[in-house]
Formats: sequence, structure tokens, C-alpha cells
Amino acid sequence: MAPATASNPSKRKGPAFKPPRPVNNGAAGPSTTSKAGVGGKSGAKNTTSKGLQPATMTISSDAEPEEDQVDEAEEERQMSEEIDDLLPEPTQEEAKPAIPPKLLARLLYEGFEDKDMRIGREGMTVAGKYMETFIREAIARAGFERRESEANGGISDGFLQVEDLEKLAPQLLLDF
Amino acid sequence: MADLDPATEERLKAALWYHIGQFVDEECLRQNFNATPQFIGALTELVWAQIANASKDLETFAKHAGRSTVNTTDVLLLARRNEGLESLLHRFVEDLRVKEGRPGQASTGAKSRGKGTSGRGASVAGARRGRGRTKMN
Repeated sequence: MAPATASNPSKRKGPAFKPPRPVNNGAAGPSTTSKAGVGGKSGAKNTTSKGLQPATMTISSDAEPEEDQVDEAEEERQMSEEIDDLLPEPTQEEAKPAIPPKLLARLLYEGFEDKDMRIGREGMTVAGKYMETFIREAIARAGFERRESEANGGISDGFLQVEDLEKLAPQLLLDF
Repeated sequence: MADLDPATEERLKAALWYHIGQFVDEECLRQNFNATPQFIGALTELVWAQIANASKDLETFAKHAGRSTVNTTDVLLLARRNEGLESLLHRFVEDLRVKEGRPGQASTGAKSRGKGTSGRGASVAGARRGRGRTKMN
């Protein structure tokens, strides 16, 4: 039981990681070509793509036809949509930390006065969770503020504004 | 982080900005919102300040316990004023330990070092009826 539940999220971990990638299109270039070479299905060139193979296969049934360039972006979009449908909460939380552990470790370390201070591995993970919750909460409260000010006849373009953050910051900081 | 030289600080902040931006975009996608770049920038500043505070706190906690390593109990102390958050983190630690196959220690809320952690487990266990505001969407 335990290994099964553990392996499922790790499979989905791959796809959940992917959606942000289309942003740097330059980096997507080489992987597209490699995919074209291998033929989409067996294109496991690193561990992450290995992890998301099952998802790739289920999707490729409708998105396979030889449009190699569009293929990847299209796949990713579909994948992320499917994932959103299937696994709303838990994967998102587990799969993608808001701040990469290494960056957070560096930032925390920079804040130490005593440079011999270390952080335990588990403590680091929990600190990551803490910061992620902080960010999540900030966004959620900003969304709340937005809805409220839209209801009061403010700008209603659905964009979170700095003013929303300003309104929620004091209470947020008291809560964390 | 005051003693950081400006160039390094700028790069670290840029890295933080980038990752927060990605995260915000992801969240917004799910909640049908959008965020202005200014929002992301302001949030980055907020998070930056929060990390600086947290790191100072963690250091202080660890030193107070006579350690030179920050461990999980110190991090849990960060959330001491928010019951909902505390129980959320506590559950997270428990899950983490079950996943790593050390369930026996989870209930103490500490790495069973037995150092200054006794009595803490009980107070945390009583915090289950949190405000629940930290758990959302």
C-alpha cells in the first residue's frame, strides 16, 4: 500500500513540474528535437521525462500526429489540464515547492549571523513547507481582496494588484 | 541579510522573484486570476523579508537549545502563534516521517532527541482545532 501511494505521486510529479517550462522556449528546443528523433513515446532522455512517460502515452493517443514542434507545448498544456482535473490539491503541493530548497537554504543561511549555523535536512523540508504556505496564503488572500474590491466597484480585470497585497500584508505577517 | 553585498543580494532576489513568479502564475491559473508584475515584485519583497525574519528566529531558537544545527523543532516553533499553521506543519512532518519509514517518532513532534522537547508534543496535539485559514483552495 505504502509503495503504491508513494509511486503514484512521483509519477505525476513529472508532469506537474513541466507546465512552467514553456516560458523559456529556448531550452525547449533541444528536447523537442530529441523527441522528434526518438518518436515521442520512447523519448526518455533523462529521469524526469522517464517519470512522466505514462502520462505522455495516454495523451499521445490524441495528440500524436507528427507535429513535432507544437507537440511538446501542446502535450504539456493538455497534461497540466488533465492533472488539474485529476489531482487538484495534493500533487501540486508535493510536486512543486514554491521556492527550490537550495535557494531557500541559501537565503536562510545568508540570514544567519553565526556562519557556522547549519540546517537539518528535515528541518529544511519543513521550512520549505512553511514558506510555501506563506506564499499560498498571500495569493489566496489577495484573491479574496480582489473579489471584494471588484464587488465594491473597483477595477475588475481579474489582475491581482499591489494594493491587494498592501491590504493583506499586516494581518498576514501577524499570522506567520 | 544586511551584510550581503549588493550584487549577490540582487541575484538572490532575482532568483526568488523568478520562482515566486512561476508559483504565482501556477496558482493564478488554477484560481482563474491573474497577477500584475508589480504584485509579484511586492510579494517577492514580502517573502524576502519573511525569510530574513525566519532565519534570524531559527538561529535564535537553535542557539537557545544549545545547538549549532537548526532542526525540525525549531522550524515548528516558527508557527507557534498560529494554531492552524502549527497543526498543518505538524501533520506535514508526520507524513514526511511515515514516508521515510520512521513513524514511531512522529507523535513527539521532534527527532526524539529528548532535548527540550518534552511537553511540547502535548501542547501541539491540543492545537488541532486550528483556525483553518491556512488550509485553502
